[in-house]
Formats: sequence, structure tokens, C-alpha cells
Amino acid sequence: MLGFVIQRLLQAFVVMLVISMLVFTGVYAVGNPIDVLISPDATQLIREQTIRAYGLDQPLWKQYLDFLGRLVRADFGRSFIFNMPVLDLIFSRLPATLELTLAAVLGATLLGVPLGMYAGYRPDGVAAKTIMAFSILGFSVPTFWIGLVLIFTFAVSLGWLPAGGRGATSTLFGVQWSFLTGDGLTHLLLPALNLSLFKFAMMVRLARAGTREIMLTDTVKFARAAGESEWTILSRHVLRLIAIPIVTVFGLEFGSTLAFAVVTETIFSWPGVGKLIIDSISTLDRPVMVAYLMLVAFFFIAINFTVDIAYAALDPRLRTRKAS
Amino acid sequence: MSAPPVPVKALADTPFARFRDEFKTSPVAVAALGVVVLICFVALIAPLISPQNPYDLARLVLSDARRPPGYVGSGGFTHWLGTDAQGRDVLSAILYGLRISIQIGLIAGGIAFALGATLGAFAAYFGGRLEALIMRIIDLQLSFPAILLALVLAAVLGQGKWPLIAALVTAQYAYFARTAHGAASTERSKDYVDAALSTPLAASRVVFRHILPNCLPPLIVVATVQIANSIALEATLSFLGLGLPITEPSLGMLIANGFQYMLSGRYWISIYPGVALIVLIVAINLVGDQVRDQLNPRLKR
Amino acid sequence: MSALLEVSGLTTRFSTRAGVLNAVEDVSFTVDAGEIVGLVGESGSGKSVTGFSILGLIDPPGRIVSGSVKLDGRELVGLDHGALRSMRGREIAMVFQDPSATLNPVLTIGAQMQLAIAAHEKLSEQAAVARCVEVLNTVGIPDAAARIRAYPHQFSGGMRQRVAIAIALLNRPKLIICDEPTTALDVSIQAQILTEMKSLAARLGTAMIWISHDLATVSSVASRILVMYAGRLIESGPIADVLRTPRHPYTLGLLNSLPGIAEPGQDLVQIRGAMPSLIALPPGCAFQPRCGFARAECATRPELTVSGARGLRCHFPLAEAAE
Repeated sequence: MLGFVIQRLLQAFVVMLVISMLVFTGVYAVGNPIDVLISPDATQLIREQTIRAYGLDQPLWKQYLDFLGRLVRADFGRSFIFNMPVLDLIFSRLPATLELTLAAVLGATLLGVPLGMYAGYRPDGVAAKTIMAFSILGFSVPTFWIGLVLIFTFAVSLGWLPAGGRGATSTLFGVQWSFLTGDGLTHLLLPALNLSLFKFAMMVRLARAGTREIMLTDTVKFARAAGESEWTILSRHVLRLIAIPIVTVFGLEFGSTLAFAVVTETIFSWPGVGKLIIDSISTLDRPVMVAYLMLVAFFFIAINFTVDIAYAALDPRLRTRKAS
Repeated sequence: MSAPPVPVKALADTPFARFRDEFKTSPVAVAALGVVVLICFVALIAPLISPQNPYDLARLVLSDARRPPGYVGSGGFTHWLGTDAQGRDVLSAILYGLRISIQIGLIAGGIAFALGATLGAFAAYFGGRLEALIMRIIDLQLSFPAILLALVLAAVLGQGKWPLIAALVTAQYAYFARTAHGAASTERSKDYVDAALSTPLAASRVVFRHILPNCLPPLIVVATVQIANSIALEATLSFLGLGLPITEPSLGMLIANGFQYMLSGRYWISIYPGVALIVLIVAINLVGDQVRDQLNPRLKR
Repeated sequence: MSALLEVSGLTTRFSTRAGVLNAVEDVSFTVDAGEIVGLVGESGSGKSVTGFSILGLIDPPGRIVSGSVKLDGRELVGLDHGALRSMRGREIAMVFQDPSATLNPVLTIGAQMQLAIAAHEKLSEQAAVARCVEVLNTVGIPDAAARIRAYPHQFSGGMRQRVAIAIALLNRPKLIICDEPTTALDVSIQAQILTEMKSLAARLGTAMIWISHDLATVSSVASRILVMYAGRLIESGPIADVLRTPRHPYTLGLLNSLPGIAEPGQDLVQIRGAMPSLIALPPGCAFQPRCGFARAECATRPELTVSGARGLRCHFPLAEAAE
């Protein structure tokens, strides 16, 4: 097991290095940041000073090496726009995104898995068909569109919930959270719902497909022949068997939900990292783009790593194979 | 509960006929396919049936802007779905927008299909370190959200149709590659491939003529899903302002343009293009669902 | 004394896309307490469906359309779900062919056994574990107290099937339906399990219905045999009698195709043709198209006739033809 972990860590390191190269060159290709940094009527002298100050006169490989050198010291540079260390900027926005993402993924899983299992258990029933119709909608309809409809319905027409922003926050562990206040919760509800619909649809489908297949197996027949109730079969046998793909997807989807938060945050003006990256793309704030992409890549690799380990823990067959 | 017994018919003799007969048993899927065909047809003949050419900026009249559905504009015709902020007829804009969305979805999906399937099949065919490397890269890319990849690429490559298609292809080819790889690995281990290999056929011939055709069923399933996905992704990127130029608004951009007016109650600029988009995507997905259920051997008893 | 299990006129029908078929048609037999009855037929003959029908485990599109299944005089057909469920495992249990498919791979065998116990009685954790260990010992699993924390994949195929048998025995059923429980095992382990099951049945007084396509296996455990063909029971009787003087041509065919009976060096005799599709059964005797003795009368359906301990569904029984 330890060898497996070390091997995976090494792999992850190489991947991060490659990604940093790709991201750096990729972002380097975008626009000319000098136009953003300096007003058009600045003197030639100021222009050159600024270029030198940001190291933009250096060749690409030199800039990349400088970037790597600073990276070792956890220094991602300063934002062109906000004029503050990028890492501080991102970390100040991160709790909002994490809060939103976690609420969405948890909600989607806790609701989607039981409903999906039911739809797989009675695939021909009216309830199952309704659940599946909803899941097809959630799967098909683009997130941004659902966001618009939610705002139009609940904020504009009915006026029940706020259309955007984070609302009042409260401090826990030195970080501001919305879910701790009533006002924050009402602000969290719509964006979380918006972000969770796609994941919900996915969980429903996953749970349904797994349940449908497992219900036809001899494992279920044998449990039935032993007189176990349908509830026991679903909650003990089937749930445990579909848990493996669901945990995998939960992990992987947590990552992609972070990414999809880009759309939801833009629509609901939720001040998280997703909105930050969209703003930084439109303002050509290179250091922020690079840092964000590196962090997302890092998240993904960390999540993949964790999922691999969790897999080994959940599936006893895999565990022994890797131990031996 | 149980479906009425289906009358026993003479068994269809070709795989396609069998597939078609089974497809016909699902009224939802047949209806969805009808909707897809209808939308594609309407989009195709959009210039002939739309009341207005929405891209001809000279023809737009500002006094017609933001009028509700049913308004009779200065052009003398009724704007059944209202007008947008530039005085564009929303119905015409939707018809033209569908045209662009479908076009981009098909082109991006098609290129991603060809590229991904070839890559996956060759990886499975050659095996060894090359296969391991290719699949590792593809797995890595798959774990990375497509939307983010497309977002960054769209930002890097700039606005326009081809940069957008390139971004969509990059974000999606990996799905095809993995599916083709999975199916091709199974095919690779079968005897007929060995038989083909024992003849002096080129590798590309074995892959294209023998392995790939047998991987088609799972690839077709992925293709329906991915075409719907590229349409949705294109709309999302355009909504975020990273897609097509504003002179040729796709559905996503129409929705984005209407967003600010929605808060003041002028819903039609966003809602109707959105409805068109959703009907299209949902219909494609419903067809895809049926195709997937039919092609999934594990659900066959 | 009445029989433990009394099946009469059982018909189980499947309405599929391709057509309607009777997987089991008008099947009647009895099983006495402590008796081992063999149920033989090729695949598709309806022997497994018979087993599932007795347990009330027929999923749509199948259903029992007529007939009765009585256990200790109590009618099982038509019982509600709850009553059927509490009957399963406690009065009639079932063991399946492939233990690696029946046991849940992600639960320890102890957990699975406790679920089976909990289905019928509330026991303390300790008492439940004690019961599991006791039953595992009975079926010959060494070091049972430690092994209950193991997962199915940590057992060999034979041991896995013993675990499955232990689960079937947990609630001390009166009858166990064994659906080809040794088919997936190595030949040497097959023999072992056969002998042990036989002695278990004798020791615990448990009756068994032993379903198999293999006449040799059945003849080594069962005292009575039922032969099924195309969903119908075609011959039954004490095993020795049936093996010595088979009266249905199909039974004779099965016997002739056994390697042990043919002379060494001789080719094994096959039954020509294949079983007809259940959707398109010939009118009359289902075996008629393959039967070497068929005559015009075989176009009408033969009824099951019982004389003494033997039952037969044939217009021209062999013994008479030979004598």
C-alpha cells in the first residue's frame, strides 16, 4: 500500500510540473497585459519600468523559471488588477466557493442517491419515470439557464429570495461563512440549488443504473431467498455495492462542481473564486489566471489521489490485491 | 404497470432494422427524434422563413427595441416573441441562433469523434508504453472539467467560430478516446483481429476497417451525448462572453444579452431563446437515452 | 402422514416481448420431510423456475398463473409479500449455482449471515455471532470464529459455497432448494460437498430439492427423481427404479448419454435435435419431434399417469414396448 501511495505521489508531482508549463505558456499567449497595467498615455519611461518590474522583458523560459522559483516559496506573484498577492486574493475568495460547492454536492448526493435507487428499484413505475424526467432536465439544461429561471421566478416574480450576493456572514475559524446566518442561508439557497441540479441528475442516473443492474444479480436473489426484506436489500446490499462508483463520482464531481461554480457565481454575483477567474480573464489578469488554474489542477490531482485511496478502502477485493 | 403485449412480428433481419424496430417501441424517443429533425430542418431553412435577417444591423430599428411579444414593429410585421435590446426580432434571432448552435455542435462533435476514436483505437491497437501514456493523459484530462478547459482555451484562442470549435473539441475528444479505447481493447483481444493481422494489411487498415466499426455502438451513444453537450457548452461560453462575436449572436449570447433586462421584467429576450435551446438539448438527450438503453448489453435479459 | 411440500398443477408463465411461454406447466410432486428429491432437466427445462416458484420469487414479466404449493398443508401461492418473505429462509431456503455471484463481495460473511438472521429474529449481536460460528462449523469451515470477519473473495470456491449453504441453514429451514450448487465447483470439491450435504440433510432432518442438469450428481444424493422437459414433468420415481428401468424415452436418452453407463471405447449416445423453443412448442408431446418412438398418437398431449411410486407422461412407455 505504501509503495502504491509513493508511486502515486511521484506521478502527481510530474503531472503538476507539466500542467504548470502548459498553463504558463497558455496564459502567456493571451493578449498583452501591458495595456492593462499602464494607461495608454503613460510615458515611454514608465512603460519600460513597469515591463521590467513585472519581468515581462524576459524570454518566456526565463519567466517560467522565475515563476517556478517563486512557486517554491508559495509566491504566485501579485494581481495586476487588485495589486495584492494572488494567493491572498484567492484564499479570501475560496471559502465562499467551498461553501457553495459543498452545499450543492451534499444536497445532490443526499437527495439524488435515494431517489435514483428508487427509480432503479421500480424502473417502470410512475414515480421512477417522473424522477428520470427531472434528471434528464437537470442533465440537459445548461446551468446558466437554470440560474436565470431561478432568479426570474424566485427573485424577480415572487420576490422570496435575493437575486445575488452572499448576504450577512458570520465568522467561524477566522473565516466568513454565509450558512451561519439566516440572511446568508437565503442567499445561499438559490445558487446552491442551481449548482446542484446537474450533480443531482448525475447522482440519480448513477444510482439508478447501479441499482437496476444489481437488482438483477444473484446476490439480490440470494438475499431474497434468505427472507431479507426489500428495505434490507436496498439499504445494506445495494447501497454498499453502488457506493464505490458513487464515492468516486462524488470526489470527481466535487472538483468539477468547483469549476462549474464559475457559471453560477457569475449569475448570482457570488463573490467566490469562480467569479474571480471570469473577471481576471476579461481583464487579462495573468497571475490570477495562472494561480487559479494551478490550484484547480492541484485540487484535481489531490481529489484523484484521495479517490484512489478511498476506493481501496471501500472495495476489499482491491485492498488485498494492492497489499499483496 | 406492465406494457401491453407487443404483437409478435417477423424478426427483422438486419441489425439496423432490429434497432429501428426496437427504437419505435418508445414513443418518447420517437417524439424526441421528431423534434430534433424538425428543429434541424427549421434551422436549415431559417433564412427563408424568418421575418427578418437578425445579422443585418442596418435593418434594425432602435425604436423597436425591447418590445414585448405581439408588438407590430416598423417593419410592418408582428414580433411574435418580442424584440431584443437592439430591436432585433427575437423569433428570427432564435432561428438563426439555432442554426449556429447546431452547426457548431455538429462540427465540434464530429471532429472530436474522429480525433478521439482514432486516437483511442490506435492506442488499444499498439498497446504497450504508447497506450499507457496516451490513456494516462486522457484520463487526466477527463478528470479535469471540460467547461474549465473550454473556458481557458476560448480565452486563449480569442473569439470566433473556429477558436470556439477548437476549444470544444479539446474539451471533448477525450470522452471519445476513452470509449473507443475501451471497446477497441475488447475487440483487439478477439480472434478476428489476429486473423486480420496475419494477412499483410497495414495497421491503419486493420484499425479503420476492422476494429473501429465494431466499436461504433458505444461511440454513437457518446456522440449523441457529446453533441448535446457541445451545444450546451457553446451556449455557456457565449453566455460568459467567451464564445462567438456579438455580431452573430448564438442562443447563449441572446440569453446573456437579455439577462440584464430580465431583472426588470422583460423576460422574453432571455426566456424564449432559452426555451429553444433546452427543447433542442433535451430532445437530443432523450434520443441518446433510448439509444444507450438499446445498446447496453447489460440490460438485456 | 401428509408430505412436507405438496406442489400440484403449478404453472408459471412469462409474457415476454417475443411471446407468451409457460416456463413451468402443470407440475405436481411432493417432498417428504427429510427427503432428498432430485429435479433433473437440461437448461430451459423449467427446473430452476420451479424452484423460484416454490419460494414465490418470480419477477415480472413472469407469474404463477395456476396451481398450488403447500408447505405443511399451508398454501403458499397467493400469500402476501410479508408472509412470503418471512417464510423464505426460515421454512424454505435456497442455495444457488455460483457462490461468487450470490455472496455480496463488499460485506464480510459475518455481516451477511447476520442480515439473514435479522430477517427472521431479533438476536443480540453475541447470540447472532455464536449462531453464525456454530453453523459455519456445521458446514465444515475451519476456524469459523475468525473467518466471519473475512470477505467472500478471501475464500476458495468450495469454501464460498459452504458459506452460502451455511446462510441457507442459519434459520433451520425444513426444506432447502439447491439450484445446481456444485456445478461451478471443481470435480473433487463437488464430490466432497455432495457427500457433506447428504449427511447434513440426514443429520438435521432437512429435506432438499436438488436441481441439476447432471443425472450422475443427482443419483448420488437423491432418493427420488423428477425429470423435467420443456416445462413439464415427464417422469418421476425412486431413483434406483428410474435408473434401472427408465420408461420415458427422454430419460433413457439422458441415461445413455452418461459416460459411466456407456461401454468404454463406445461413443456416447446423444439425444438428437435440441429442445424446442418454449414459445413454439409442438402440440401434443413436447419431446415428440426428437423421439425415436413417436407415433401418430403423440400429436395429442399425454397426461401424467401415476402407478405406485412412479409417475410418467408418455403414450408409449418404454418398459411395455421392450417387453
